[in-house]
Amino acid sequence: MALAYGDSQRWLEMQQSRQAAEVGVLRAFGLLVAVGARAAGAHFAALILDLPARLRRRKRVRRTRAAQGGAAIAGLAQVWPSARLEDGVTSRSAATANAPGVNEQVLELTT
Amino acid sequence: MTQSMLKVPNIVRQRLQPSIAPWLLPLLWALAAGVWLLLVALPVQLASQGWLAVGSVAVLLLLRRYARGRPLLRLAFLALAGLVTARYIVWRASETLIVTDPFSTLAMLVLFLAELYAVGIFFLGAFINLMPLKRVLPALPADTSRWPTVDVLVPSYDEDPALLETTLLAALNMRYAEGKYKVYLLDDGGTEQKCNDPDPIKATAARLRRDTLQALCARIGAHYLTRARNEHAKAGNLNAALEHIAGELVVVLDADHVPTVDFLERTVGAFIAEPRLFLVQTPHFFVNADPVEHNLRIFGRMPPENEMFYGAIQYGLDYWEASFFCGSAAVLRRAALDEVGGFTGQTITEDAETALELHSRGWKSVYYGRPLISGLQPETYSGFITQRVRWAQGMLQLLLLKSPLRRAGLKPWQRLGYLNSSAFWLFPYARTVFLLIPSAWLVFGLQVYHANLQQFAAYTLPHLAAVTLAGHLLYGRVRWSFVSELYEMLQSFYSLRGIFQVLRNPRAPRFKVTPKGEVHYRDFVSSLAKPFYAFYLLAWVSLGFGVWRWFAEPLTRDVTVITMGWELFNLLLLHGVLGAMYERRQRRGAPRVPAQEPVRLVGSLGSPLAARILDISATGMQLGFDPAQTVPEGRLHIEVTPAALGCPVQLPVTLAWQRPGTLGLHFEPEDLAQ
Repeated sequence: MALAYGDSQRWLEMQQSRQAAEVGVLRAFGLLVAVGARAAGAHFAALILDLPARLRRRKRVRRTRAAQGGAAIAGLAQVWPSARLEDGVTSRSAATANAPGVNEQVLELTT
Repeated sequence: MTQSMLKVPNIVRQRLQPSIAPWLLPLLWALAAGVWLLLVALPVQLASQGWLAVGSVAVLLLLRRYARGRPLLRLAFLALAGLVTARYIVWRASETLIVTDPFSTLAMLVLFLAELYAVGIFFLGAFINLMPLKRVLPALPADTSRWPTVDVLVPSYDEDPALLETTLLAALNMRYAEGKYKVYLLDDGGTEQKCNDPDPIKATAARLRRDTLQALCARIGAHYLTRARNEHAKAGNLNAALEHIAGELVVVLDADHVPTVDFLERTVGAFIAEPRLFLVQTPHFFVNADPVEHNLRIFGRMPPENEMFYGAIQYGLDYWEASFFCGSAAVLRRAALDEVGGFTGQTITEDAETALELHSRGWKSVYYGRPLISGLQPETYSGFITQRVRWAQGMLQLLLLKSPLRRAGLKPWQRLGYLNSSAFWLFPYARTVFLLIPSAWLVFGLQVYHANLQQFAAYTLPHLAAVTLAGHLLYGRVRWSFVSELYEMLQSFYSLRGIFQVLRNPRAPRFKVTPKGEVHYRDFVSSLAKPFYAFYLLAWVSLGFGVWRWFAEPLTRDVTVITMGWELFNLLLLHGVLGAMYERRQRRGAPRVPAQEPVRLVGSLGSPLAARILDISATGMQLGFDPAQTVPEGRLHIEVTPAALGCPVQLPVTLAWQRPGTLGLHFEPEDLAQ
């Protein structure tokens, strides 16, 4: 603790060394342009290289959502037998109505 | 500190007094001001204006080498830069505001308003930074019975216990009279309200946090305080603590602001010397890179962004008796706080608001520029934006709800100081306008700036050169040129929304805690980058339209080429903005700082190694040594004499890595205190 954060002299020296790195107006502009161009290049490269993976992820998310939607509909159909589903499938047996975990599952899906 | 220390020294008068009679000085000032105003308003031919401008810029270029350390030359420099800028804005107002179609007129006025703001802030900044005041504070008296009692407050909301432990331990390690100071952790994450949250998971987490932090405080000797309800954010937390403490002075430290051992030694003496002093503010000194520095890989190559405020502006404000409380790393007088009912919390920048209240009651403040704490900046762009939007909203709330210009009790220059500090945060409006307005002409053909190339060269270019050179003179050591533009552009889009929220309802904003100590293990593109893709695309489209317009409309080539230059500048800045939004992974959780201490590495096998610490963090260090030496093995420890302790200590370590001449060590203490 005392080594890393002890006396203010270290921070003072660090502050002074940072301030000593002053550059002229044109040099500052040139450096910022160079640094910005390089970093923006990295940004766009990451976007492009990540594009196939992003598309795959998006497709997977869509599929998962669709599956979750199906499960939710199935869950609803189990809890509310009278529910009329889009594909015409309805109801469930009286036995599954009281099956443990069904209501919790629906609660989870609906929330 | 005697009364004379707080009396602002009139540097100009000191310089002139030996040769000029005191009664003559006001007359000279009035004469100089009259001549300056006359020159601003003097109508001249375009060619004469061109020569005047070129001459002025040449003189500025000549003076800039000598003006920094010489108050009179500095004043002359700023007066000349101000003259060029004032002539520009007078010309803009009198000759270029030409009403055409409604859309062009609207865009023209929007741009002119942004320029008025920029010129206003330039003049305010020049005034504030005219005579930066660097003080030497009086030392504590030898008789410790005269030392005031101090309560160190560390407010916390959701910070990691390890982060808090570091800060609390450092606070407990400060050198001060035995029994004269206490350290308090103010835990807003373990309030009754949070522990009884209807959500059982949140309630359990809050209770667990409270238990953990209570145990931590008991172990290290700090005091744990919490309260019933999370009301009025940080100000409410601090005020709740004031009911339990009775020290004469209060030190406020943010959860990540680790004080040095000499923090109290260097600051408390001023309170003994000056009974009307309510505040000693010290800089927020950061040891890690902010997201811009980190992502652009420029940390350590240029001064950090906040250095401009703590390394220049606060000194300038101090001269005008308007340096203000910045929420942490400060000592405040309890009696002064009691006079205004504690930390005031009408705005979400309770620090500046409290200082404004106390300044208007005649209390005095001091800025002491030596870094006495080390803190952490937000690590991600989203954390950075959260922090900056809060500052922008809070300072605008101050402007709207506390009206520093009309507030009774403030001196005129203090009003200007607070006006500058709060109006500055309107920059997102100007920056957004400057970013978008070139497209108004290039894409939509709106006539927003009625000037030809000659007028542009005679008025606009000299104005731009003058403000850039003045900025370099005032802040060159603490902020590289054009870095402000980059940071402002980064904040503009999100801060603008925050500003409109305040303008619609000044009481609407809520305090949001800045996330600190975030670590990300992979590179990723910030999700907040999306609006800037639109700006970037628009800039390219505008340049494309500019090329088309150059060929299609030969009569307006002057305007087209000027606007394309402007758009190109925006595009170059946007590269930096987009680069800063590509979040680079962080290799280490604890920030690393350079060091120089000699050290001995001792092992159970082999002879000790004499080395030098190259850098150090809370978790380890890098050593440099003569490659001819062999590194000891077995159970390792280091022997070092920290300047802060003044006595040798031993610390168990393990070897993390080794290269010729350098090696990395991990600390293996039994606890953080060790």
